[in-house]
Amino acid sequence: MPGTVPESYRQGVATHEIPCAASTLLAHLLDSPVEGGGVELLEVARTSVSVHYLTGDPVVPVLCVCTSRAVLLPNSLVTGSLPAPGPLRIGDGRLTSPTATWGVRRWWQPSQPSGLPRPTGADVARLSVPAASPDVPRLALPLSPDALIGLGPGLTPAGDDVLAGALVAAYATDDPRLPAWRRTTVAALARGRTTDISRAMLHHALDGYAVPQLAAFVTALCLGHDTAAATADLLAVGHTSGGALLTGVLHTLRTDPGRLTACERTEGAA
Amino acid sequence: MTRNLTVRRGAYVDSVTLMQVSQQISSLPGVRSALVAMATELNLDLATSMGFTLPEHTSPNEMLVAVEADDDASLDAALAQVDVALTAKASPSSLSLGGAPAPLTVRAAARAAESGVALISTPGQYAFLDAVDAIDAGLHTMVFSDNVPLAQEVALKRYAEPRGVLVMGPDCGTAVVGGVGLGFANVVRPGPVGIIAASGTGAQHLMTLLDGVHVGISHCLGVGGRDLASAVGGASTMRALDLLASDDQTKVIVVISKPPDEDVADSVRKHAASTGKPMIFGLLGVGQPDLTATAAHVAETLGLSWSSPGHLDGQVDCARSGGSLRGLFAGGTLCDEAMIITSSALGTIRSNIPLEPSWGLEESLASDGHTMIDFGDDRLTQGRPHPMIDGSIRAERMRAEIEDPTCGVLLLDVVLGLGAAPDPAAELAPLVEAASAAGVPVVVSVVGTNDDPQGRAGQASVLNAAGAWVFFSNAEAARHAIELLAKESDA
Amino acid sequence: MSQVSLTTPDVVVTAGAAMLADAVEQQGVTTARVDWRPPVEGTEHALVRVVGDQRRREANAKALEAMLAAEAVLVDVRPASEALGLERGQFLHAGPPVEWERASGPMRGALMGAALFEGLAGTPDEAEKMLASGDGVSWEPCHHHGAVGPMAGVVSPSMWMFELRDEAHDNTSWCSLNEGLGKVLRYGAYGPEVVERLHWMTEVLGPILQSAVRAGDPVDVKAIIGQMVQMGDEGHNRNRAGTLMLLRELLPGMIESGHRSGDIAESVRFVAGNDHFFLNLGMPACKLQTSAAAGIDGSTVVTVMARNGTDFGIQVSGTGDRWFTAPANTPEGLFLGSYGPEDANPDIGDSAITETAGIGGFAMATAPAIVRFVGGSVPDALATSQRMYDITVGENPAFAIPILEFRGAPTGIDVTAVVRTGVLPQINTGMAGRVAGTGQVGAGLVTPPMACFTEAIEALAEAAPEGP
Repeated sequence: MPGTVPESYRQGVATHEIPCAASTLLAHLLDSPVEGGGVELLEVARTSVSVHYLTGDPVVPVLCVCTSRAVLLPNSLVTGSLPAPGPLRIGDGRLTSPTATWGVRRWWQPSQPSGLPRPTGADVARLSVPAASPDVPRLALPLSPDALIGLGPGLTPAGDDVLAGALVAAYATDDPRLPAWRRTTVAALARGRTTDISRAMLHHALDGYAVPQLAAFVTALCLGHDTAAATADLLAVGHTSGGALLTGVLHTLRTDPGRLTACERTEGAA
Repeated sequence: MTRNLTVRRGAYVDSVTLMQVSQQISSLPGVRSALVAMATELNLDLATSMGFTLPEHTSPNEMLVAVEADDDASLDAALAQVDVALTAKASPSSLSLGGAPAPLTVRAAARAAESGVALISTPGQYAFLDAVDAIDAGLHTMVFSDNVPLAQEVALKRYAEPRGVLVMGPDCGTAVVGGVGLGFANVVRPGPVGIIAASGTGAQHLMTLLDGVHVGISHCLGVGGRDLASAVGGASTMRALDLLASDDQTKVIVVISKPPDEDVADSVRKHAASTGKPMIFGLLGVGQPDLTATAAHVAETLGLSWSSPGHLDGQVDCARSGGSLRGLFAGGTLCDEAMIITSSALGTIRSNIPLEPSWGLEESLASDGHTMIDFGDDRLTQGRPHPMIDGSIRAERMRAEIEDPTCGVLLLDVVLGLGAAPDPAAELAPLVEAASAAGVPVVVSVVGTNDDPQGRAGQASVLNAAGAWVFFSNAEAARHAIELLAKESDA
Repeated sequence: MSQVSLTTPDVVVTAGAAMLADAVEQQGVTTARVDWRPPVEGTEHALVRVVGDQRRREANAKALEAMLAAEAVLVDVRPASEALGLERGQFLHAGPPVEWERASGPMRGALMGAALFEGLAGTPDEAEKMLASGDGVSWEPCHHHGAVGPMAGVVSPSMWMFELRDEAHDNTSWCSLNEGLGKVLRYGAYGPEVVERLHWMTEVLGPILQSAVRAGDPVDVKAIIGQMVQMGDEGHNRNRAGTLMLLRELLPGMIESGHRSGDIAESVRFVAGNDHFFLNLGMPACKLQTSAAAGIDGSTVVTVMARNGTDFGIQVSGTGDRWFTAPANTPEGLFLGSYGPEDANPDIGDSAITETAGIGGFAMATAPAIVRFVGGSVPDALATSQRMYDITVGENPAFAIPILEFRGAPTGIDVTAVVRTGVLPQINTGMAGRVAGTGQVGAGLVTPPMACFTEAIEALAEAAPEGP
């Protein structure tokens, strides 16, 4: 039978799959065997460059499928072609809809700045919170997740962005206040009150995961590098998100890490 | 012959358009000469020199239309055409300004790249030039091209030295930089192992073996097969060591190479020691641990336990009577490794890349006893695609081996990944079936990951369903082939 | 020792097999693909040697830096005898050296006209005989004296010259005063009206300009070029805005010069009526820019492109003042009146110094009208300028091209890039009549012969240290 290949042998997977690049945070979801049903995804939000899905998974509660023009969230799968509305499953290394399959061609690690020195007072003092962001809540001591979460409009309310910025900076510099902030944030999230997408962002920020622009800014600031370009990039994130994230970072780096206010200490226990 | 000169008022047109119109009118049939121009002094002189009589008073803001033609009909046609040409408007489509033209050099292309790498696969005699451009742009540079003269490789690496970038290659088939696969690369996950490889398929196999035990890769840096020879002196290997030493993600470094020049090996070891990270030398040669053993060593260094990647049983469990081993490979290092393992049990293995010079095959590559062929060898890939992309030459040879009664066992590799053929199992399966029917066991080592576009599990199951023994370790596949041959001699 | 750390690449630059680039894009990574082509045949070995020369990159960066830093200020106007020390019987001309036997029609015509103007001969016949015999006359390239001349570029001792200074590099350059279009000396015409005009320029125009320049602040010619490039002039075939800006600078000084008002009015009328008057200031400014980059060991940047109507010659920074010459091409374009392609002389003039400095054909995008000389379109003009970035080492922010988002003009032609891509520098030019005495017959576009660049790459290879 020279030269012929029976149809039954054809796998043809490579030609039919839509390529995508997956965050390593999604590995366990992608690896789940489809025989067991895989994981069914429930669409909760859609923009021109991204679709967000609830996974029911405690580690990655929301999965984002986005194009390369979207801000790269740590829980993203990047592809040139977004899934149409409708059923979508994940498992066996693929994302599957009734009409298309996405296969991972590259794995990437989400940004997680860590082990950085706290920047000197002068470096931080030089930066100012952008005045042109009226939606960014004025941050007052103490850092109160209860007061911040869900505050402001948008898929990620500005208050949540501020909190995420503060958490990422705390994780990056190994701030002693982080455990307490974590507790209060988790407790506040348990009481609901924000969008699923923002909840997912805070969920990953608790572990120090950040969008690349935030990670680059925190890294440049802590290492004493020029922050002009990184600041501009960060401020360009979202409508007001960048400014809010920056506000949160400055809060962490400007306030005294040795002093936890009574309020901050007790809130988590409430 | 007839002439006409008229002066038009209030008809300013720019001089370029007028020259075009003049040219257009001059080229009409029956027109001897034409001048359509503003009535400047210069143009009036020109008209005079063409034999026209000028009106008495003209101003430079008026337009001269002077035509000399063979007859009245041609003259009228020409004058009519002047009006048409002068009123012609630019068509709307011509307003499209078009994008920037594609860059013609790496230098021009690299202006758009802030942080990046370059992948050069231009013909070998030119690759040096393109690689220098990439190095100048501060890019780590992979030179996929083969046939780059040794002196140019040396010069290229020397050129890159002070610029702090890595030259991967020449003749580098595989690299993974920051998770991005270049050339023939498998889809692997990020992890703690940094690989420096003088062999493409060797690196691919090590990555896939580690992927099998959930150990990820930080970077896989090809350095080219000659890097550790004394002429090159390990220039890229040293640079790669430095890069991996300062890479936070890399916890252990593996160097994969044929046995290097001793002096070079010494300096590599010394250099590695200075990095403070554990380095494992995975040397490909007689008496050295095979790639699977190296993978096990890496896993253990990371404190993980190693287990064999396992296999799938084939249909035919002993060699065809009286036959010898026939290995048909796409990956040179995989062929080499199989020869090293099998020759310790079987003795002479004839090959186009023989372990001993005296074991070389005839020009025809006709099998002679135990025989292994590397179809990816430069001499067999000139003017045709690499067997990892197009398996047709190997398939042809496989058919011949099935019909050859001296073929007892077939040993193959199937290399998956980016850049490789989309579905190699589908092409091989009918041949595996035919071999099994003829009583020839087929042993296949599948080098790939489940994340590869072809999917390792799917490829393996198709080959296995057709009757093949499927291994995920090339060394284990080679050892199994020896066992199958031994069973035949028992029968 | 610094090194470039390993990160996930934003972009993968690919040259060669499309399949490998496709595999990268499959991973969601952007590629910058090179539209690769092999270098000019036979240059591979020399190219490897030159490109592999460790000095090249630094040397070219230094050459570019010098070009960008060069100044160009008009400091004086005076006769060539004074400015350049030319003596009776000595002439300068455009392009590389050329002897009478090989000189083209317009070059011969211009030399004859200059001999008549200087009173060395009474009739064209006498002038021709004297020049052919070489008796008491000699000529050499303008470039050998730091000067430049458009078209035939003939300079004789009595002609008045613009004198420009680059204080940053302590260089001076000169160029004659522009005579206008049509039957003029630089196009090879030598009739009585030509000689008469030259006398008027010497007796009236030169002294008035001198008074004006000496009276006022030095005129910043580089600044005028920067402005005219934003006003639709590319500085070679279109100098309209530049001419008006120059006149604006000089007018008060001319008026106050104390010369007869009739002479001043005639001088102003002469300058205003000649859209190319500024060319003779742009050219020496460009010469100052490229001179600043001359003589840097290991540099592959072109510092001179010049033609004498017979040969095209280039000089390269790393090989000093050595000429690499080959027979000049004939421009393609539009013709005046009844002239046609058969009337055109091969490429002539030092004006390609403008392209050498990054304007002229290189800034075509800013003067789209020019491409219609060869029946092109506006997109062609944009594409031409953008193509020149492939063969140049950098960009000149002082000459920003608005339509290209104010990208600086492509600056510093790299011999290696020309030979590797086969892309030749684009030159805008006027066309002289083939027969001596004809004058201008048209204008158009032309490129240098590739042989100049292949010869240069061989010489650069010889000058490079032992390499691969």
